[in-house]
Amino acid sequence: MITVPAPAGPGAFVHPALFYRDLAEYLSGVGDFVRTALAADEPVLVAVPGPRLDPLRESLGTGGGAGITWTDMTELGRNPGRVLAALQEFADRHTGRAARIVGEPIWPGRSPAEVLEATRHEALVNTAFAGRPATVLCPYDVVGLAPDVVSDARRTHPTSIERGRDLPSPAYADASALAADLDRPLPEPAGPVARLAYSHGGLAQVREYAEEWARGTALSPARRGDLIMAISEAAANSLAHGGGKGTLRLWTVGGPATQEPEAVAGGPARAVTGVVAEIEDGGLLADPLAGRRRPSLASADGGRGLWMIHQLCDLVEVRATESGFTLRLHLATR
Amino acid sequence: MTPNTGAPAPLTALPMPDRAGARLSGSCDLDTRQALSTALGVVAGIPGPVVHLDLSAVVFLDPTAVAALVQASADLGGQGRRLLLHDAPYSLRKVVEMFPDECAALEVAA
Repeated sequence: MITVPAPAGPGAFVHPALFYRDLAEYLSGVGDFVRTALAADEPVLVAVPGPRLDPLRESLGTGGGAGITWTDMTELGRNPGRVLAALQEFADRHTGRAARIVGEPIWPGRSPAEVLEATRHEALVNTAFAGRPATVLCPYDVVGLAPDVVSDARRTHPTSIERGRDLPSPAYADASALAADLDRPLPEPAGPVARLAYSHGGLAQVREYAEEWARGTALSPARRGDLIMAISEAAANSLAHGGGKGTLRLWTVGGPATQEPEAVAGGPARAVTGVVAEIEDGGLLADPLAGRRRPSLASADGGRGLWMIHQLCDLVEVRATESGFTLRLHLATR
Repeated sequence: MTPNTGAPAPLTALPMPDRAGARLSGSCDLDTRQALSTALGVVAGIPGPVVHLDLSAVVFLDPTAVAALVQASADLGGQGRRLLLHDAPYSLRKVVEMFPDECAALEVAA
């Protein structure tokens, strides 16, 4: 039996990590949480990887799934930068009631870049939900995930549930402390890079340059359109909030190239699996939550562009340092 | 490559020869914001129950431009008239998809 977090008092936000070792612990921990919420007539969102959804539904039994919003996290959270807006939208839809959310944004097999951005998401959950009556329970597969991923979960969650015990996490750190670690330098691309500097008056040229480059990739016309929109929003943010100028870099990535150095050094042609667009400018990320809440169409701050970028891309790497602001936009080609 | 310091790609509007409306050409973004505002002001002054806006020569609209179209459509609607958009580019259709409620009043010809 796993202890379910005690009911939160008014206005209290609870964000425990649930460290599970097997499916039985998973179903027990998540199932108890969901059943407790349903018994209290609280709105429940379950956003976990697709393969976990069916066992959970089955374990909750006939009728147990009623009143639950189910979401496949491998789709919603493919880009971890999208998740927080979705969780807040769910809570907003139930104003006046305590939202109970199961969010599992990190699962075995995610790339290090995805895990880092999902860890950033986890840290920002504390900032975004501070003072809201809600619980976000985050399951972590401690057998399948690397030890450093589990260590970081202890830093992003004020409490953790482990082997049936719900305890404070001594390693917990606030989002600003974690951001310093997460904003580590990005690796330089391995292959050829196209580069364009831009400033005011140059947005059309940025799009034309990116469009011409993208035509040489395997992106579908629609995904090419999405890439151009995302790049245009990022470049427009450079002009409006990032010092009035910036640099665009474009390259392709392939699975084998990062693991087989000979493929880079003129060996066999590597299989391209995606494209990356990097936008770098002199901006500061004044609000770490920018882009992580659904904006209005008419809003004019940089958050609307960032939110759109998160929706349009499969992964967005964010780096905000003293020297400037960098976005790496990833779109898969297969 | 050196930074681009050239003039923004122009946005132009020409009257349509066969019906009440205008044909926009160019890109609608931060660099052409004022030109779009001016063009939509002219379009709003075109008489008739339906004002057509041909977007077939518009390569790109950003969300602020789409918001301006929504506003122009609402303004005409307040006068009992309609703004009908033709040949919307991908960027406009995608913005409508991402902001469905706010763009619900936009009329886009099939």
